[in-house]
Amino acid sequence: MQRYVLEQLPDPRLAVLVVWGPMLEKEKEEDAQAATAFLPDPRTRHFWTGTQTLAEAFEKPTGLDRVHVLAWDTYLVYGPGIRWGTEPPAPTYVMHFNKPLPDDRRLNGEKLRENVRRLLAQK
Amino acid sequence: MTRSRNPLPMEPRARAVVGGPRLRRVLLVGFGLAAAAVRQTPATAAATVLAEPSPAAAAVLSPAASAVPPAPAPAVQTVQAAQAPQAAQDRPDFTGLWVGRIVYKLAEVEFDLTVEIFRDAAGGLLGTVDLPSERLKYRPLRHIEVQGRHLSMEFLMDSEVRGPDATFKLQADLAPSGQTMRGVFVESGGSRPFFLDRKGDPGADRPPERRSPVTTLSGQGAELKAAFNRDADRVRLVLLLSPT
Repeated sequence: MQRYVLEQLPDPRLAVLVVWGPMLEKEKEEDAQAATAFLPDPRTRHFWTGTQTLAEAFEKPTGLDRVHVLAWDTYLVYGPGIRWGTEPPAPTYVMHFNKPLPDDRRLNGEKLRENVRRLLAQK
Repeated sequence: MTRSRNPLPMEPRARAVVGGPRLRRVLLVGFGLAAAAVRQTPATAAATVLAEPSPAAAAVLSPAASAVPPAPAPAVQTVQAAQAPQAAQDRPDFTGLWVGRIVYKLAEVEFDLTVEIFRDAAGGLLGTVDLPSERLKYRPLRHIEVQGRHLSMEFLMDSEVRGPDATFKLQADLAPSGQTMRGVFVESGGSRPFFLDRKGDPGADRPPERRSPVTTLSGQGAELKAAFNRDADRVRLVLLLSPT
């Protein structure tokens, strides 16, 4: 992410929200603090949750609700104007790692960057 | 409710460099050894010219090494390469602080890699390896062997797939400039290309770790929602990741 997307797209109109959480059910908040070093871009804000609530809430927007898989290791891109109402909104583009989702959405830094770039160009 | 996390047995939850902090468990999984290597900073290493100790079997590099992506080289490095003295090319020096990547799949699964090689008082080569995504730091290298421009070395790491103290090898060729190495990272399941760029003498300062503040979310993630809507005029990336 840092190398392929953030360093290549220094656009201030991009914001990154990272939710660190217990995908393996053993992670701790101090693990999240350490992990922030991997995404040092100043446009990034880091959050920690000790529960599965958000990973469950994002199942539907990512399409993982059909297979009942928590939405950890997912990468959601939202275009401008999309707001979060009562539920997390559907993303404009989504990628994943090792999830039962289409292979062409398997995480690839270059694909992700080009989709973000396209949205930035539309603004 | 079944929660399937790891559909691929060999890549249970590997995270690409592009996507997450740790690239655990592609093939390197679950190390448990304390990274207890003591960093040694040789005072004389930088000025020492490698004298090519008697090698054991220098490994044959896999053709896969050619798949290593070209490392972005700063202009100054190009100049250095062009002006590399003949003596340096004839007597390759592997000592230094080296930084690069192991590439399992370009832009998908990559491991950052740091190798530091120096000489001990007796003139032998010593070194350490870091794999930050595996939280592996200053792990001692062993069996460092040189044959001409070929370097091979290995380190031990616990692996959920390979078991405790599994052996991982790095085998590389030094470029004529002396500023880059390319080769293969070898473990029992196969090999993957890697590259290293020389960033300085052994003992050189490493980039400082830059941590950022972390906001603890309340139950429903109201703080995340507020941040998301506050930036509604921007393009937003929302990542849900494990920090380990």
